[in-house]
Amino acid sequence: MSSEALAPRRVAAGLNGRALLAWARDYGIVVALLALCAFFAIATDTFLTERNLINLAQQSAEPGLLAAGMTLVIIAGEFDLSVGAILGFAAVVAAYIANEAGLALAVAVAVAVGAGLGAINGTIVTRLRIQSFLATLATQFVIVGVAIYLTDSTNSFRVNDFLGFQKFANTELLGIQSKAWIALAGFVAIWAVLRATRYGRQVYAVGGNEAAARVAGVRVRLIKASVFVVSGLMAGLAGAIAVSDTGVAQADGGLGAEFTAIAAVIIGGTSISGGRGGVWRTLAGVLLLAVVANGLTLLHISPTYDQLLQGGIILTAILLDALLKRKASR
Amino acid sequence: MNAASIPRAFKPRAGVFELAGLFSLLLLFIVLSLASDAFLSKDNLLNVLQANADIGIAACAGTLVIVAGGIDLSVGAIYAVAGVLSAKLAISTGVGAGVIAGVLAGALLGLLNGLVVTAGRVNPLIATLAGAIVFTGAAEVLADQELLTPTAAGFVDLGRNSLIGVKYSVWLLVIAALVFGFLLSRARFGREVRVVGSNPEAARLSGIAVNRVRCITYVLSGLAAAVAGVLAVSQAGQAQSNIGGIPYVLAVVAAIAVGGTSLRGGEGAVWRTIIGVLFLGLVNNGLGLLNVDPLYNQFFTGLLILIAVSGEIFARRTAGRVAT
Repeated sequence: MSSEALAPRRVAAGLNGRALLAWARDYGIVVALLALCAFFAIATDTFLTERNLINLAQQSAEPGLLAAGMTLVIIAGEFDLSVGAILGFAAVVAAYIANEAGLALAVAVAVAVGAGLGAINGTIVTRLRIQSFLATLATQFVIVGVAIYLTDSTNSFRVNDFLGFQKFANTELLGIQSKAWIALAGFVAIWAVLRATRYGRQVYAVGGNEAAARVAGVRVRLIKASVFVVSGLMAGLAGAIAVSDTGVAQADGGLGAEFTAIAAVIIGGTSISGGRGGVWRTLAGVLLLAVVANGLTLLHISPTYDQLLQGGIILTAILLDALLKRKASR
Repeated sequence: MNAASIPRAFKPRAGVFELAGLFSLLLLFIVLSLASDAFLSKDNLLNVLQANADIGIAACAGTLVIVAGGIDLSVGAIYAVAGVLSAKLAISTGVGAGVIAGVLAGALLGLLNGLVVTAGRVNPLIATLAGAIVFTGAAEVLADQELLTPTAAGFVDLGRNSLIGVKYSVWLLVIAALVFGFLLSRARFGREVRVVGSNPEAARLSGIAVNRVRCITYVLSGLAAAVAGVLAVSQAGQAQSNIGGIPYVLAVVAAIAVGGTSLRGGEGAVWRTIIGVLFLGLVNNGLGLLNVDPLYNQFFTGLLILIAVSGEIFARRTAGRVAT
């Protein structure tokens, strides 16, 4: 929070080198995102078209929801490796309920199931005191296993009324599909919670200095458990969107998405050691990853090079971030 | 404090809990022997070792990384790079060149991880996660969406031939366990690794080159993952860019954690990791013999990680309470 306050100071002090470094550290992600957009806008005719930008927003919905939830977890000083598994689990449940009882209930149950699985994660981390990295790695395995069991070991589950269920994620509003609006709502909600509520301040406090937070009367375990519930809830929502998009729920379909979500949070500049960061940063991180993938496709670069180039950009961003942090704090 | 009232002989000691992993492994062994006729045969037990050799080799070296307070999430990607590179060179240039280049590439990528962590001062989780993405990309570029099938006899022999009835890969696992076990528990380097992991500041003050120690652990981890990748490819006789990957990383980390090495760093042992590898290997083998669909292997692995780790934590807390 204090780091966000550094920006106005730059204006007062003029282009003082140290303040500039601090500014670059805090808003580097935005500069990088804009620079990439400018580059692709010049390099291709197709990047800066309405259709493509809308596509970008829509494709970012699922990873965005996962990353938004992950931001809260990481600010609280924890990790959630199970979000991809929860996505698949919730998708299977949503498809099943959709066939039995209809769309609205399916979405509600998917979200509730996601939150419930998150609560289990939170309980394991805070009560059994297993490190969250390991605990959620284990629950990832267990959740995918149960999800596969729910599909009668076929690993996938089909929605009968696909056209009906499609409406949830693909209804257009102002020319943009509802899933993008849902993801945006998720970001705004978490942003508001972190920014303006006592709970949000407590999440920062727990991640920044657990012992101090405890002394100050924050119920550390409850706060820690709650961030997993939020993260699970977001993953549940993403699962419902996934089924709505394709009409098929795949039990292990979300695996790997947890690492993309973590990458987006980190690229945005939220501190991995907890206590610092913000969800708008994560939004920028998600968009940056999407822009890179999209731009590379538009440049007709063979998909073989996708991962290498993306990884190179991520690694550069991380190294630059570490360097700027050191220089600015010196 | 209450401990004073407990007769001395009944005080559990930390030493008993140290061996909890070993007891669990023995128990599982006995249960499986009773539950399945096919379990207790030389062939089946060798199968277990062979099927898990590639995970075990990287897990032995990975133990050093974790004890030094780091973590290596890029072993799956290094495994892929080494496997693909060795297959490619074995086809185009020669078997020796392929194997050596594959293994060296692993050490080099490990060094890169080490430099990003130490010189770049990036959190190891992030550094090796980013590393994993880059290295996977490198494997994809190397493989160029092809399925490489090296057929040279010398190459496939590595993974398929045996010495005294035991596959080379198992021998390499034994060597890895002995070498890394010696390094961590008996050598001066191991002591430095433990100090760096438990208290980097104290390590620095006592004159240990913290960054160098950390860096070396990543090089060893990369090297071991590469050996595992080359072995796996020579055994399968084919390589693709998607081998190893995240499932391999998770298997390696799970084996280390189930063995009882703390992910917080500072303590742990290679023999524990071997117990972890065997434990998870026996579980998968047992489920197969009991005709459980392999789709559920990960489910049971996950449950067992939770049980093993929470048991470990509970045991330590109890032991700690009695001891003080």
